[in-house]
Amino acid sequence: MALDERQEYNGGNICEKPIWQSRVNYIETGGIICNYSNTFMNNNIPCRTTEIPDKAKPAKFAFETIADTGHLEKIADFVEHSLNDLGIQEKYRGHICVAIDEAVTNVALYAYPKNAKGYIRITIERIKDRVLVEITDSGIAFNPLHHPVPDVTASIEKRLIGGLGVHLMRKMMDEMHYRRINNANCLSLVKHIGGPK
Amino acid sequence: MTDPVQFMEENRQGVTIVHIVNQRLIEPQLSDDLTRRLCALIEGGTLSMLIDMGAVARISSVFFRSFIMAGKKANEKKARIAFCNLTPVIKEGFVITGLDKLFKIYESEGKALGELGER
Repeated sequence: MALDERQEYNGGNICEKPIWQSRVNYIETGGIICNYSNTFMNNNIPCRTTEIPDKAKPAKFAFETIADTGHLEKIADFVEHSLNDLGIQEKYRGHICVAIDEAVTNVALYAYPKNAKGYIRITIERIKDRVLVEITDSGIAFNPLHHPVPDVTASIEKRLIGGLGVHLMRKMMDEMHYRRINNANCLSLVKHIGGPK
Repeated sequence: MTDPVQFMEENRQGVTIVHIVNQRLIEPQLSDDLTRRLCALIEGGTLSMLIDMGAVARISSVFFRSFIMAGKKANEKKARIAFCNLTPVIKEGFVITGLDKLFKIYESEGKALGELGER
């Protein structure tokens, strides 16, 4: 099944204008929409996956869906499949999965007002000895680089219960960059897969 | 609708062992359920709890909140919570967030019971 840039796959129907498309500020990928995995296409979750051809073997995958906590499992599936297809070693996969889980959970929980539907887009790309992850949403501006570091040494009585997600992202990845572009949050996470971590 | 956290509970040598069955703990709605159930066990008189994470491959930090809240409850009630069978990445997450200083972590259930269980 081939879809063009203005079509979406939605639970068995190809839609010209999905309900959430007007909220989407697409990044031009130059890619093609393809049936990357049936895993992502077998229910009513509007989403699309993009496999961007790079010579013989794809080196970049993208996934876009509504930012909702009910879609986190699908995103997790996409991340696992992509890292596997990119040939990322197990010791790095775990770190990257944790960082992406934390980032997408933040978007699903806090980026958009309650009852407002907005998108989240994840791209995963391998560039030589680095894995570049980009997470984009058009929700409320949030720069995780400015997020305070939690006190992880406090006793159980004094322990605050929040703020651990961004801390985990920082520690699990080698680089973290944030840009606010065209009213969209764009978080870039980089893992050096030849390095010491 | 999200399924609740799947648990299996057993009591051995005076220790309540909570086997978490879910492979992924990433949906935030589930963390409230986990918090409620762990705190209910402590409220119900459990003094020694071992959480077996052997089946869990991925966990989000929203579930660390559940553990911290259960830990606070256990602290109030003079109970203790420990963990076993963490994957290397989850163990690393515990270390990064300081949970390893709040809770004892054991390599296996057997080693945990050797220390926590009644002899």
